[in-house]
Amino acid sequence: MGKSTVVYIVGLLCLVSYAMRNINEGSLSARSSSDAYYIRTVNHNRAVAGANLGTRLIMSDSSSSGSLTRSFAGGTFNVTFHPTASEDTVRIVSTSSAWDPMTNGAIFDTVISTVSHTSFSQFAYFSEVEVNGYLAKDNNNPPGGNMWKVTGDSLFGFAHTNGHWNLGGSPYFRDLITAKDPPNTMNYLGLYAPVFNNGYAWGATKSRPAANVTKLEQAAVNGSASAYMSYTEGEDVALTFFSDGKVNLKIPATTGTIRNQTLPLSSITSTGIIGVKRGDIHVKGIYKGQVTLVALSGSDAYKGNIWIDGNIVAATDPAVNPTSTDMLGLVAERMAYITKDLTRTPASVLNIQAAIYTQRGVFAAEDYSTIPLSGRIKLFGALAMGASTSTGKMESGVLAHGFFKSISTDQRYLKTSPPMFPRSGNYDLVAWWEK
Amino acid sequence: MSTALDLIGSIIIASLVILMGLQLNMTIANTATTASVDRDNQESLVNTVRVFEYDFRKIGYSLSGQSLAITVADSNHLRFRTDLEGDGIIDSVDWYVGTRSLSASNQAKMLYRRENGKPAVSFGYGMLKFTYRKEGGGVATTLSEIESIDISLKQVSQFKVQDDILKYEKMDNPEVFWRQTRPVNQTMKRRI
Repeated sequence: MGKSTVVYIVGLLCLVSYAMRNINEGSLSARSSSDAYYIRTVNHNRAVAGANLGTRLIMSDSSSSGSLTRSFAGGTFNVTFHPTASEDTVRIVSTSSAWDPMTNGAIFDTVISTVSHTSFSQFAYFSEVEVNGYLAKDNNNPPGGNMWKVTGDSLFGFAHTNGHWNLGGSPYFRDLITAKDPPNTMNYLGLYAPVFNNGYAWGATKSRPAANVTKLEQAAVNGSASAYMSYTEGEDVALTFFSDGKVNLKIPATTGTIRNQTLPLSSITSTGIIGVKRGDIHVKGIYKGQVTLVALSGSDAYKGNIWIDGNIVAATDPAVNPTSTDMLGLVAERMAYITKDLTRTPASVLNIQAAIYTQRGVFAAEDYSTIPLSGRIKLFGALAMGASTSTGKMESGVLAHGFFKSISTDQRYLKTSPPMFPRSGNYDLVAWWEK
Repeated sequence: MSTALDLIGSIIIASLVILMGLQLNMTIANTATTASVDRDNQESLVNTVRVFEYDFRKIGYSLSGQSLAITVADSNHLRFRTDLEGDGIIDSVDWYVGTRSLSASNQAKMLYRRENGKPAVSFGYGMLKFTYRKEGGGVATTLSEIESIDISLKQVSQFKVQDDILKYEKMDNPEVFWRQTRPVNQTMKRRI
């Protein structure tokens, strides 16, 4: 009895041990897939941490370059910075690595962020401060005073001010609105209820380096080897665009005694920049192609203005056809004026399809506070200014002088912009890619 | 007489041992099957989650600032747009729950992924629920409000297994569970 029982029990133990070993292996392998997932997830988070660190570094110190390597959470990440030639855009590549004991090999992961100096063409409305920044032709002292967005005002597109908004009643903001400081608020007709359809954020600043404008000067100089073509100094210039891609170039703007020629846009500038220093630019017509006009003050503090003498629209209407490649940038170191035209009536419509940037002054109607009611400005594009726009004057709660205005963002300018259109001095995160 | 008693005793003990062995064998077989199905189910979940994460990490990538990244946001159907391969072409990706149940007693449904309207690929049976949250954590009511998505996934094995303490009729399909809260489109949301 004893011997046979021992044989049975020993045999059974061998069988059970073998079976238990197989079960344990099965259980462990069930867990190993979770372990492998956990190790990969930690490694991915390590790469995300590296990308966050690199992005934060470059946004707080734009001189960051080269690479950095850190040990973190049981592995390492390596961050490298890859600026473009113009340094307007920097790619930050974070690669993490760790040892995977499950496969007995190294694992890697990658996260790439892209920061860029945001083009001011992205903003439907941008101001340095929300005060009246109008500069008369012969006066460099703006009237000042808070400018208010009130019930009935609406903005379609991103809006930002480096100061604070003045909001009364229920102005409507379709897209994200940002500012450096929280808004100054007011009950308007017993109401304070602004509509932030896509949210708001305070605490954001977009710097506007003066070099934004002056760096265009060299591009204008380089645009043509001939004098008085893409670059003019000391004279006003008038440009009338035609839908066939030609431009009438008139220097001086009133007489054309130096140059009065109609040429293809590409014959005037090879860089896409036409510039004037110590002079103004007058513009109107139907443009075809891509060009940025820049007016610089130079040594004359009253020059450096853009004058919009009439409708200025694209040959292929971008409001109807977003694939239109026609783009116009109007960059003024001082003011962008709508030229006074007393033939306008309250039913008149002035169409402007352009991205407008003014460094010191604003986009305004000439003599806005005294001209008669002149209809409506329809701006389709972008607007960035040194202060708040002034295109009309209210009296007793109604518009008594100047223009109504409608500003709509050109969706194309969220991704692209007219040649060398000014960019913010800050880097903004524009893309984030995780493997 | 003594030999006969030894023989009878051995037979009884051997019978008991054999019966124990058979019971043990059944238990081991059940446990092994359960472990094997659990392993397969977990691996299936991990594979599904890897594809989830590959997709969801890229929601909204390369879209312009005002384009909606998420275009369908139901509790069991998510459609989003992204440049999946980084080739400049915007793709549309759907994750959704089908209509066919696993069995009469188990309401787990087939999970599907569809890319650019091509035929859908199935990821086994399970329960998938999306909860869309706005800034501050409340439930989003419009597409443009969505700031993050809670993703809950329960992967259910097609195979029933018997727990060794349960009767045959108590057999059930093993389940594994995964949940994650994922921010939407960091590119757009971190524009400031």
